Amino acid sequence: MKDLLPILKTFRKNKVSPLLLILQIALTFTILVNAIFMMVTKENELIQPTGLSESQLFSFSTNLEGSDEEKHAALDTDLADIQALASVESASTITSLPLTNWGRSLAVGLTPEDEDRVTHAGYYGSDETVVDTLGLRVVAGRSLQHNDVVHKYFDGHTASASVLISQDLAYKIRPNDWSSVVGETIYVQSVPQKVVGIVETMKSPWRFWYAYDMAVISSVKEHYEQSIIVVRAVESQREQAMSEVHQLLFKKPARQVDNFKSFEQIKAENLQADYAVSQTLKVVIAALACVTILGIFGQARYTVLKRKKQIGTRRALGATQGDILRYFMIENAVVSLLGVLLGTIVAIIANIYLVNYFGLTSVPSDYLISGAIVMVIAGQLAVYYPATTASKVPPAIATRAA
Amino acid sequence: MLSMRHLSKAYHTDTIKTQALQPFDLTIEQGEFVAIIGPSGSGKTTFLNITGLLEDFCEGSYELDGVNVEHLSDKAKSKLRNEKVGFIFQSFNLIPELTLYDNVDMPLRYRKLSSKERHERIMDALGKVGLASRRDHYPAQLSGGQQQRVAIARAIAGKPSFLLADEPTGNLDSKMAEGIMALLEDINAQGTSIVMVTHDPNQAARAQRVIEIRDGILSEGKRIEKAIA
Ligand SMILES: Nc1ncnc2c1ncn2[C@@H]1O[C@H](COP(=O)(O)OP(=O)(O)OP(=O)(O)O)[C@@H](O)[C@H]1O
Ligand SMILES: [Mg+2]
Repeated sequence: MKDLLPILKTFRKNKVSPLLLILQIALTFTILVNAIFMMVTKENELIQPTGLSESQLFSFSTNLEGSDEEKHAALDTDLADIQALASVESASTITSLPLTNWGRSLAVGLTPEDEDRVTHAGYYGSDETVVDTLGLRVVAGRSLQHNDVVHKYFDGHTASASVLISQDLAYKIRPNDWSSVVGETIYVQSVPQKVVGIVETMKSPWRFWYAYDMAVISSVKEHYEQSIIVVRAVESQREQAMSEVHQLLFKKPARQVDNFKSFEQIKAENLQADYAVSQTLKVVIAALACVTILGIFGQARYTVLKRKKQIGTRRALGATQGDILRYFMIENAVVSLLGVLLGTIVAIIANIYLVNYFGLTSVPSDYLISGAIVMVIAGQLAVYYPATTASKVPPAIATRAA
Repeated sequence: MLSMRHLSKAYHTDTIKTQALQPFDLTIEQGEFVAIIGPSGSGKTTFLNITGLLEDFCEGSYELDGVNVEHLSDKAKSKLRNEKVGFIFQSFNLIPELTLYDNVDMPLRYRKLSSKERHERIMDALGKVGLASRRDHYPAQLSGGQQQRVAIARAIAGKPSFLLADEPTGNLDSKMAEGIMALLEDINAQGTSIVMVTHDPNQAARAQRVIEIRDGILSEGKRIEKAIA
């Protein structure tokens, strides 16, 4: 550390270039740490579970024809046929599924009045098989039962009388005693509905909606012209179940099937844009890191070239190759440390501001600490080669170069 | 004492071999003041660089204060340079970002000296060249002659047995040059050997001994025994 003091003294005389480098490192450090934190937060959001038995599910929509009665009967026949397959555990009709970005949102309140609305929620109409098919977990009350279920062509929520709600919705309605919502009457679009049970997790169809965690499952089978059927295959037999169901469907003439997809496919399509953002962020982070490392490398090389004579003089006056190498490594370490220190201070101040004014989450300190360590190590690696070049400057330069 | 036997030096570039120094024998006693003269390109700097261990020689042997330098590692040579040799360059070679004090401190930091010992040596050396009061100034704030005095202070602070100077007054006017010469003579009078390259016949005349180099061939000029001078 015998070089530390002289290095700091040279900074006093020659402030600009180390200062610029310190600022560059501080800025990169702040941006990198925040970007990495954003990316990790985002990726964690992406892998958030929907609460469904994702790996066993697939769904599709199919056409129903004829009078109301005929459509209703056709739907029940389809469901019974699918259910009868050995590779299928359970099948239900449902008006929509989470992550499909398609469905109905309804206002939920404790009275019919609009002003008393508690929140919005995603709406699903289904039947007594829904809990089994989706793999939901009833945490209070009971599941839907056969005699709860009504039939309707469309707008089922106006006809149903019993509903399941998600635990988050129950909590929203009664934060201090969510489970007591079972047995209560809530108003869905001003229509009274009795809450018969609460399921642990059920999301609405829109991931970025404020009420993503709020869902109502009404006990109504809608036999619309395009009805959706969701199937739960026997564990690890989904592929077989999908092909069997597909074959079965097309035994009926004039059958139309749309969106025949596994749940992972639905999920992947939904997350695609976010994955793209996340990938872009990764590329930006990597590029930024490269630019900074190249910057440190370039600056060090330039300094070595500029100070060739000075290095030669030091060698002539007794510096060993190790002394020269050490000098540049320590100089870089000092600059990096000052840079990450400044960056940390900026990050902390910025975080206080962001948290207070925008309610954003602050970057946790372990990100700052590991970011600082990585930054200093990267700086040392970047400077190592130029420092080696410096140590190989021949001492004779001192008397030769003008 | 410095003793060279059948020493020679050649530079090899891709195609050309330059015989910078023909084989020669030379002994320089402790306390001598030797002037090296000769036309441009004759090999003076080469000779000085070999003497100061800045460059390796090709053939022959060289003992510096009793140490055979031939098989020394780079690190050992650096240490020997630091302790035995002081350099004075034509263009001073001070470090512009450091004060005079820190410039003189620089070679001392490559040694294991206490900070008290270093401080005493720095102040003593700056005092000898008459610049102690300007210790916190930067080189750019001094005249050329003063900068060369700082370089001399830097060279003598390490208490070397040899001072090697390559045209130390080459960048100075005659008045400043005279000051530097007087200073070197003072230092020599204290017992430090000096080997100085010069183009100035008057300066050469003031040395006890003159060695002329022509086309890489060393020849002895005048030699005045110290007792007589
Ligand atoms: N690194 C080198 N590679 C090849 N040739 C060199 C090298 N250094 C010096 N020489 C050659 O060696 C010879 C002696 O050079 P040197 O620098 O010792 O001369 P000098 O007497 O100091 O000249 P000057 O008075 O101009 O300083 C010259 O011909 C020079 O071109
Ligand atoms: Mg020369």
